[in-house]
Amino acid sequence: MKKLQFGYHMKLTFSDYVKNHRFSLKCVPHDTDLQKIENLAVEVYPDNVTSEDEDSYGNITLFGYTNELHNSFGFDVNGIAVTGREEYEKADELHKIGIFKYQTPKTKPGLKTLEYYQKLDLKRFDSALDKASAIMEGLSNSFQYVQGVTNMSTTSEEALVGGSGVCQDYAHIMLSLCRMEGIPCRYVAGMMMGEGLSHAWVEIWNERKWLGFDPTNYKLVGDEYIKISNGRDSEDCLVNQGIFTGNVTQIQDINVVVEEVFDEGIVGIN
Amino acid sequence: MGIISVENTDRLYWLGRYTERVYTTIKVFEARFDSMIDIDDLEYEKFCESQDIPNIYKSKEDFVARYCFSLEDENSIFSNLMRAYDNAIVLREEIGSESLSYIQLAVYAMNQAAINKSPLIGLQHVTDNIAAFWGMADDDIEESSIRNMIRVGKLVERIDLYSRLKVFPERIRKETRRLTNRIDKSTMRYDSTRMAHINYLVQLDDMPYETLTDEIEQLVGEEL
Amino acid sequence: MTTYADIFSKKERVEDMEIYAGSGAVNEQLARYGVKFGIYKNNEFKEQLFPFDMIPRIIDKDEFTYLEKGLKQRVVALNCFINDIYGDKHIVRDGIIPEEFIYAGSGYLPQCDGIKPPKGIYAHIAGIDLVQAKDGDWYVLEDNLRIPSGASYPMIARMISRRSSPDLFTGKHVEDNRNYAAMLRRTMDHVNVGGHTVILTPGRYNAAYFEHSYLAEKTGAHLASGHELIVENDHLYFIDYSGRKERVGAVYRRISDEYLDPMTFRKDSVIGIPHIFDIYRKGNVALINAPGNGVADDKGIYYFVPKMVKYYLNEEPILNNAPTYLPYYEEDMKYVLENFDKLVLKDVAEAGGYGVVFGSKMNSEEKANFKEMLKSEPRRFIAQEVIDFLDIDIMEKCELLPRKADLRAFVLMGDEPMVWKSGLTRFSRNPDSFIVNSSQGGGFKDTWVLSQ
Repeated sequence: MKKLQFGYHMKLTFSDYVKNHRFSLKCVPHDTDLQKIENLAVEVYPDNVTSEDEDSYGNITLFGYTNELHNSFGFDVNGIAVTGREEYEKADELHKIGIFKYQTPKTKPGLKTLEYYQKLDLKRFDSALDKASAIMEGLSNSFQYVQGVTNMSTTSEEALVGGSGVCQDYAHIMLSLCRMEGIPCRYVAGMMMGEGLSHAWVEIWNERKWLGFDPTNYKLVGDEYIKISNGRDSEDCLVNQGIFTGNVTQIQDINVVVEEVFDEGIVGIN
Repeated sequence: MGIISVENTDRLYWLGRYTERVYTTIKVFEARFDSMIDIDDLEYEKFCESQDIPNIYKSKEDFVARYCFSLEDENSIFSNLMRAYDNAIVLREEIGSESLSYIQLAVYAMNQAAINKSPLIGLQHVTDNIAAFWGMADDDIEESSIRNMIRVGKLVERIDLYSRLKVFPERIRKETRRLTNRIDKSTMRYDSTRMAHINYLVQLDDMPYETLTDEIEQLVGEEL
Repeated sequence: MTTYADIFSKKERVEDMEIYAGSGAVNEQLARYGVKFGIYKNNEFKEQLFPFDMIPRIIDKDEFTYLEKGLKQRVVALNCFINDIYGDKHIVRDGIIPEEFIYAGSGYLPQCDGIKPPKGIYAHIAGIDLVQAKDGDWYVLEDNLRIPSGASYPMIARMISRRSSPDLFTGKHVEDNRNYAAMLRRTMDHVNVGGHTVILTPGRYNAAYFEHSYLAEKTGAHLASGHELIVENDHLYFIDYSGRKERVGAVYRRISDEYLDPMTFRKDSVIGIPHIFDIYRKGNVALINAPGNGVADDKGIYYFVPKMVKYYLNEEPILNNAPTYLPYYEEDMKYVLENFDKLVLKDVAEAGGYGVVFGSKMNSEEKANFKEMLKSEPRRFIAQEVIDFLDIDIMEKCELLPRKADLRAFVLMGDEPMVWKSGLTRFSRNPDSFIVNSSQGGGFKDTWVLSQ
């Protein structure tokens, strides 16, 4: 069990003013069997009218609008996550989560994935756990972590053809391979101890448990991770989605800080 | 009940304008056509000038065929009727199917008139249906602001056309009085300073037709 | 079984209808009321009159009573199914429907999972397509639960025919069908959570725009397009020209799920309303029909509807499906391959009469290719016995001609299930065609239900 203080900051800068901006944000971690969120402080700017909702995957969604002209938009989410409260997240029965067994446009295998899949020879293993471990191991040996070669819309097949990418790509490829084996699995967006960007990993369904695999770091997900959202693929976990009036280019800055706090009771939030 | 969107107030106003434009231009056309028959072949040239439309016509036959019935000629009567139709077709719930049906019938009549050997007879069915539309709209539409939005469009267009045609000042004065009585009842946004200016202009002995045309066209809806 | 020949005298059949057909009255009336549907040809929008044939389809009182019972049962079961699928999914757990028919299809929308719509109704307006075979038996061909259209045509056709040929109705005891608007209003009011009722249209360049505007007028609902409605503070509002915001409690939306809300579904939708789905999820507006219904009107799911009736209602299904085979099941695959020539094959992903092929009409190469495709994608197709349709007569240039026709019956789920005592009868104008869809040049008839 760990107590993690986190700060998730996102800022969009537009090249010119925009208006009639409508947004949906999935940037607030929710309570799960593994984690409990405390002292949560959420700020969305500029002044917005904001509502809260929970989507069908249990993710917290903030939604709202700003009608006035503005040239930047962002949020600051701060809080404490008590992690590692359980060994795993309890899962629904198979017939209820069947949707996670099927490929999405993002994870649909192509020739390269098929070839890769055959090389993995997963039929050697019996359990979903062993298969997932083999997939993760395979990926950490053959796929390179490189920033800037892929983007938000890159599919698992495209990433695999390129041979390199970021955590989102690792996760999509792993989802694609697990689903080829008929293993229900889901995409997770979240944060990890340290400073930098947000993170993404995979959970596989095994005997009514969701088990977390982080193929980017080649490790099982433990109490240094904070989950924000989960879904079929990254599309279900978009941190920020918006539409507005204005013909602009935009730059997104993300800064995530997660550090362990030891001192009971003293919690600094800025 | 009783809620209307910005788009629909705009459409009601333009429905009034285009029905009036079709109605009055048919009436004017009838008068000019009469002298084209055996007095002055080139009467249509003056007509184009008065309407501020390019004279693209090769002969009086060409003028009759295209100015009345061609949908390719954007200034034709038929084109204007289709603009009325385009506004009306999206106003069914505001004006009702019965009123709307007369616009549909006017379009139907226009198609028939185009293939009729005597265009004036055919066009009469068009004006009959427009007159019926106005009557039905007045009779059938419960919401007075809707009736008045159509009326305002109709009167604005009429004053616009009359000032372009330089008709007798007294006729323009009469229509302007009607517009003044009507415009507030429509609850539409309009430029009240301009309305006052128009009322001043029409009282002048030497009526400044061109200024009047400019002013009337900017009375309603520019900022919408 | 009553046909029009039993109910009309020979004079009425031949002379009166000829006079009526020849007089141009019908066309004039159709033009007068703008009974049109839009169609895109070479990327250009055109409005076409929907060809109307004045010989009605006639359904006996007893026959309709049977259909009515069966239709109510079917639509109630379909609603149970949709509630179950977006809830506990017992029908999957109990193995009645294999999970891949739910999750691998495009009809199931995970965004709808866990939603309980107002009053628990998902399919408020169902259009059930039926055909009658030569032996008089009725079969359901398709359940349309998304945005079934067509009710406005028989409504207006009835008005036109009663005006143009009143004598044909005298003494015939025909149920009045002009109550559809009242039924629809009752259905919308039942689920309204407080505020105005709005019919949401994609705009006048939609094929069914006539219907949208006609139903708005007749029900007294407001016709609106997406940009006239706005979500604020968890509620939906209509903004009027003076800037006043009027709360909306029910939206009969005539735009499809994927375009409904760019924040949840297709991001490029410009005809939807941002965040309407979020407030619908919170129960602050009723959407008619509810999003996600596609899971129940998929051609693959159609096979399972009689099983749903048994599963949810513990009743025997009153209405039959056309005999259908699922190549997904080995036994059915074998049957389909062996009896290929007498079957019609339908692609489950297609609609509107597209993706339908007859085994007998393929040459040997096409057959071989199709069978290969069937084996590699068994879930993609269903196969049906070709039903020997009961032809009904239409009048063309004063001549009676037999044509294929179907019947779209409308079932409305208000405070109680209601079946409209009429329906849209569509016919194929081409004598060799079984395809009756208006998008493919078909025409329509009024449907008379006899009251005694």
